[in-house]
Amino acid sequence: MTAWTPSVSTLYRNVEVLAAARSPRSYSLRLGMSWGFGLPNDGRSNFTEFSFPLRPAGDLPDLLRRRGGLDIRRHDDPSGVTMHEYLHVTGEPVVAVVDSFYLPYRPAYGRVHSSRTIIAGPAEGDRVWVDDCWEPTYRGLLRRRDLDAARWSRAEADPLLEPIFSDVQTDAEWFTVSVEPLLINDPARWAATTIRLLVHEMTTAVRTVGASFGLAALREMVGVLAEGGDAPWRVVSRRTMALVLRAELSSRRYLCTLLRNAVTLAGHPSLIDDVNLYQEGLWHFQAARDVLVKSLRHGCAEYDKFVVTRCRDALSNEERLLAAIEAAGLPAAPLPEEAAEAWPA
Amino acid sequence: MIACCLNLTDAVDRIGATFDSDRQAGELNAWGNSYPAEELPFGGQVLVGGVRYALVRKSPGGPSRPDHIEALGQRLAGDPLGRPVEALALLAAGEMGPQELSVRVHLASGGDDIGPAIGRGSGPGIVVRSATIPGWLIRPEAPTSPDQLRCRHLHYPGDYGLALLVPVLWSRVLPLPGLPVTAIELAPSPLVHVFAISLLAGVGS
Repeated sequence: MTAWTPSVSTLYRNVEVLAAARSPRSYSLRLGMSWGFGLPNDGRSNFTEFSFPLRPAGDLPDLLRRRGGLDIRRHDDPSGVTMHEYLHVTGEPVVAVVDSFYLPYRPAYGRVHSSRTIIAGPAEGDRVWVDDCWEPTYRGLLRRRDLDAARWSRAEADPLLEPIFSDVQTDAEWFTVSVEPLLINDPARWAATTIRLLVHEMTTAVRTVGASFGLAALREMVGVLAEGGDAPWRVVSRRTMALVLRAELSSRRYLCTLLRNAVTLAGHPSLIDDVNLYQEGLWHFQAARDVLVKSLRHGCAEYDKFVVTRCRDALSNEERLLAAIEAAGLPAAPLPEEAAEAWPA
Repeated sequence: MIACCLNLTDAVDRIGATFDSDRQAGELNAWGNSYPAEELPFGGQVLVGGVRYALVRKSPGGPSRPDHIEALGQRLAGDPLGRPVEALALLAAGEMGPQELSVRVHLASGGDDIGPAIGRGSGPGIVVRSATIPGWLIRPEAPTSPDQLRCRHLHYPGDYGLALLVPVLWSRVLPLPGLPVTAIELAPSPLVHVFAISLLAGVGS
């Protein structure tokens, strides 16, 4: 097992915690049921700390539900009480989008607008139990009125104090997580089919009006970055690029777990070494992401050169794993059509 | 152990520490956080993990000035006296968690004869050493260790300080083959912040 693992967004981390409570043996695999890359090129600026990766076949939660029975459902809360009613009735924790500005336990309290997610549990009187994984982490009670203020914040843009995670209209968004049983009659066939599906997803080039997808999109990104100067940032802003990488990196953390299990079930355990090497190579994505974040405050040519190099190495890392899987000669398995992919019972 | 503390005055390029009067000048990370300069021995020497380090001068009052090196491929002069060096020591920290730093060390002579147990660089008389530099922020209750130079609070650019997370500088010692060092190159790793470098002799004594 490789030691280094990439960091993930708060949404992925919090979904993992809730899914683990419901499906301790398979939650991590179910979160990894996608291997793709989505590059927006329409100037959109609505990526957040808790965005999922872009996928051409619809949103990623829909893919995860169809492929692995993990149902991550996003909810609006126009009345402001829907989430609390859900917590009261079900007793099941949820993931809530918040602005740290209103959370008294945070360094940013009353000072910096910064949006991310926390886990919220049932109320105890006028207080709600929360689990906030952002350093310094916090687990404890929070006044409901503080939580509500944090959920309804505009998180005004503050480029100096919060260059990346502010300027997010949260609208009291929240998420529930449920897990359907996963019935697999033939594990080897399931594994081979899953690997084939994921390879197909990653190697299929798709272009839509606002984005490109797959390995081709990653190559496109490297090409755009290599132009240097301001050219790349006219296609995708630094902030958006950093948030795209954040989402893709999060998804890949679980992809590695899925692949390690799948290659074993498919009768090719030697590929585990390749998956571990791939996981180590995700460092390139993380370094590019973090230096992009850094460059939001102080840009310099050396940072951009570093980002290009890291993204180029990240591309090589993806290509290396694809080549290793292809060379292993996995048994032919029918490629399930997305619509008919009814593995969950 | 003898330490030759390199003078980094002409090489520093970033503001990692701020005085209380100038917290908004911090640029250790994208959020403008910084070490509290009052708690670090700028212009003096400090022993961390048994290694003596020298920090550049930095004075309160007026706008903050750079106080450390962000690893961006800089080449630094080695020991001007040409003494044999058994280890390279760094006082540094990683931004956004632990970071890898690779250092190319140029040796005065004998690089071609370096034994196989020691990593070779690309070229005669060059060795490459790598280290994982731990992240700069830890929780106050995290265990202390001799290789830490720990501050008591963190500076925020909004002109306040808090102790919910505290900043740390870490001492990392990289063995060398005992030859004079003429130059040191820091491989580009913008998330590594180097505050002091010392060349060591008599490490085993």
